[in-house]
Amino acid sequence: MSLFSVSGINISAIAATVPRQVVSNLDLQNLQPAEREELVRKTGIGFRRVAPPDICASDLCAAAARRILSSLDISPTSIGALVFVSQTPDYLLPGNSMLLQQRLGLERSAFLLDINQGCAGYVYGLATLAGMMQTTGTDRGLLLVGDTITRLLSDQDRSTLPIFSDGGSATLLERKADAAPMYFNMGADGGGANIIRVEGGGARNPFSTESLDKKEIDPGILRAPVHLAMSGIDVFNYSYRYVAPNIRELLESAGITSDAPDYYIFHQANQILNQSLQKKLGIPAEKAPETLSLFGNTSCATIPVTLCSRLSGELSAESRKLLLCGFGVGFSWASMLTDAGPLYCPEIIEV
Amino acid sequence: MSGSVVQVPNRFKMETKSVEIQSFIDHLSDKFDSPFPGGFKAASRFREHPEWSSLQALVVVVGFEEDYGVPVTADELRGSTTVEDLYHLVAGKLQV
Repeated sequence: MSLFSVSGINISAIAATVPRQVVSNLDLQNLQPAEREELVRKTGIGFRRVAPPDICASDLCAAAARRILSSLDISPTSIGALVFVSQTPDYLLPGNSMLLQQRLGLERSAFLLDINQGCAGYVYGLATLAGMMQTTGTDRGLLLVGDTITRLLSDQDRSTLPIFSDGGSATLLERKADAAPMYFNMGADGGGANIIRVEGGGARNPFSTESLDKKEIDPGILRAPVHLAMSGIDVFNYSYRYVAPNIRELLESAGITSDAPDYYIFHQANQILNQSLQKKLGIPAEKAPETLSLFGNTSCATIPVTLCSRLSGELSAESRKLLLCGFGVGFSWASMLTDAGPLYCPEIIEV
Repeated sequence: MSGSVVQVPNRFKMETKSVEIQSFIDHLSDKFDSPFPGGFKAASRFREHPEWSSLQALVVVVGFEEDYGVPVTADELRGSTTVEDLYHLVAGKLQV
């Protein structure tokens, strides 16, 4: 595992956006009413947000970034670095960071980077940008993390369709001498690369007419190679094996006990998995706010969505000791501990 | 109780872990909201439970981990047909 800390970098603002369109899992097609109710009760996911065709992750993140820049009266030309984390970029190339530099009005000298990461992506992005800013002396950096993951779903796959949702975010990092340290612990096991995957459309299996052919994988699960495939059981197994030790190691390295963080902000996978992890770690429910019920699994955006949805008021007013933890595609996982706030943290923005 | 229909020992023991087949069946039944028609027996095909789905499969696997400390992969579950198969799978891992 990669265990390290970054100092002198402050989280100054976090904003999160979701599409306006709300979809209820109680309205799912191809399921009986009792099945829908059971699905909502067990996954904890009542509603999801689905972006219309003209809204991409880049648009959700741009809206979040613009809110931060305008509210804090920050010139985009003062942003020295922009990191974009997504698995649903606008194009295969160029990367979203280039598009957003132009759209937001950053200088040509800004450092731009795209990261292909999933549910651990928010913490991976924070680690990358904060570490880069510390070593290069960059004063301001913008982390944009978001996905329109519903674009990758088969509408006939009951193992993914009721779970995933769309969302975006922007996080402003600034150099500040007395900023609280950020402690990171990152990990991955490429042996789990096949448990969440889109097989078709990349260089290994280039797009062809066959890419759209749906096949029945299991009862109730029809999908094509271009659709997201996920083995929920194996996601659970990998998460259960790796996440708790990762968090315990991070807490130990920071010299604190598990009751010290005010909040544990977990990636919002599904209620079954999240509650099992919390039980394993002995974390009370009030310290692990959830947003599955209202926003579902927004992929890499679940952590900022949860921060803005559930802790906007507290983080705007005071400092909180936060442990952020993401896990998913790869299989990868990452956790981060820091004191954050007071900071600019508006409630969820609809786009 | 269905222990008499299976050609397997009805108890696996370790120093600290053991599982009897009836206890295993009881734990498995608890993971479902409604009973298997006629009640789960060792020879029952668990996928014929009206509640069976990919989500229910996850609930069952989480139960194996939480109740017995045993991870069961999707492939292993796919290779199992009856309750007895699941019992062997979990009990075998307890012995390792």
